[in-house]
Amino acid sequence: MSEKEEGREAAPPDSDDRSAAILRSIREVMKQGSAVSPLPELDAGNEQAFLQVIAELTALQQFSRSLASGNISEDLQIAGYMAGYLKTIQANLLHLTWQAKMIADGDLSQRVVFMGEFSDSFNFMVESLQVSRNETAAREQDLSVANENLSNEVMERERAENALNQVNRKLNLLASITRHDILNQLTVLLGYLDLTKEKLHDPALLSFLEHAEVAATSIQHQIEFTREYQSLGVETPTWQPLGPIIRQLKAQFNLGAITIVEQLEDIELFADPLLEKVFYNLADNAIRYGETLTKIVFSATPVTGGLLLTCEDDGTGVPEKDKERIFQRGVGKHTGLGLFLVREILSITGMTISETGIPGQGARFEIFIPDGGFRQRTGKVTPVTRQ
Amino acid sequence: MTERRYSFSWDLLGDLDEGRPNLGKKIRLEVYRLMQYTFRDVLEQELGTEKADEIFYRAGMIAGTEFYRHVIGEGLEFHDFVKKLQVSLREMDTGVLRVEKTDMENGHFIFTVSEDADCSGLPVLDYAVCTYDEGFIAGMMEAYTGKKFVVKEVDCWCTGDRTCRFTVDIMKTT
Repeated sequence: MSEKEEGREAAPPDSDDRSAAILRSIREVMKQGSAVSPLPELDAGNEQAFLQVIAELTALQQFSRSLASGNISEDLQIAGYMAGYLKTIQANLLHLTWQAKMIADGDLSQRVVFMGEFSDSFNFMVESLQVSRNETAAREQDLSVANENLSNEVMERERAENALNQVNRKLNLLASITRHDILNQLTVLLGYLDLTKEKLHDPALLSFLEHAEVAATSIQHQIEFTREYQSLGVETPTWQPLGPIIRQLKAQFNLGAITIVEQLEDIELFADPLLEKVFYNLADNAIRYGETLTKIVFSATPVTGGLLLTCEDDGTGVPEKDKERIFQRGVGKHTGLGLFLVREILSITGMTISETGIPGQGARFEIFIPDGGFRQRTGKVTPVTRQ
Repeated sequence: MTERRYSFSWDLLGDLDEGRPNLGKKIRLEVYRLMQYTFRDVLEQELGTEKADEIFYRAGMIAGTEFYRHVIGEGLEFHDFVKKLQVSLREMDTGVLRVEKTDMENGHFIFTVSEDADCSGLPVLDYAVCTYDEGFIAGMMEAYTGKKFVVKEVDCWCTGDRTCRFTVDIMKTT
């Protein structure tokens, strides 16, 4: 081989080829993360410098990746323009992390500056938090005051209630004692009237005595009524099943040939504890005034807004002109107080009663119970509003 | 020691309203840097690099201590102290102070200062230049806590970074 040929064989790569290879390697590192093509052939000094550039690019990429994944505590040992700005991003993120902790600890005066749109959004968020907190604090204060006022009001009401109960107890006691005393005197009076009747034979005088006896008996019934009326509305209304109340009626009256029919077994009413008096008085009226009475029927029908409970008999009925009068105090052949008391008892819990029967065919009392005042015990319980 | 001529006191800052009714309190950053770097030049020529840095650090400490006493004020909770310092430095166009880390228990902190008056925009010199700031932070923290601190700038514009980063560590007693 000639010297010339030997020289050609030993010649280094063309400088253009080396430049192209260097640029290719750098481009590959920047775009793909590593150099895949063969590295350029360089002399020892340049190779060291080239590998240093590749290493720094790689370090910058790894640092960027760490920041992007939220790992903001990585260390970047190289310096320079790009490294410097990446580390500025890191410094800002670290500071924001610290600020977030301060805000979480309650320091809502933290603000971000010189970070463009992020500053605006972050500061707006913190200001909104501050406003929210202030509003919450104000509301808490209002609630606290309202609570205190309510507590004071409840205490006042309790005091007033206790005072009322006290007065009520005294009045009831006075009424009981007075009633007891009057009834005792009436017993004595009726007793003497009876004895006097036995001694007298003059029809005129006997007639006077009978009138006196009727008056005394009437007074006695009025006084007895006050005992019942005194109890009205005193106790809290309760849920009461109608079945047992009706069954009790059958035991309280000497019915003879009269039958009491009822389909109210599963119905309960929310009413004054004197509710049983309602059915007692209705049955009593039917038996006392029914004349041709053979049957009393209790039934219930759902209607708009509630339930219609009826007490119907086959007696003589109520004349048209008396249909409303019979509920007034003092109207009637007996005490004149039974149906008055019935209406009063029902009204405690919003129930109404009227007489709608056909005169001559029997009386029909309709009790309207509004929704919420009744429920059924079997199967599904109908929705009620009371507890 | 005989009384010194240049012993620092805050009143040496003077009455700026009276002194500069027209030009006001601000001055161009270039003038500030012109003075600082010419001082460094002469100090280094006379005393060497290490001594020049030490002088700048100590001057910064005096400034930090006095700044705490006259501008920041005592009795603040740490987050309020930081906030007031941030606002003051920003309003005086000194830099944008941020906090990266606070470890009160071990007395270790990392602060950053962006747009630092001493170095922002300088060419890359491969060494940190904010020696005065190191002293300033050390003096400030000592005045606030009553404990001595060592402050080192680990990232600087002049080392190629874009934000100055300072480690602040409580001085360990041997």
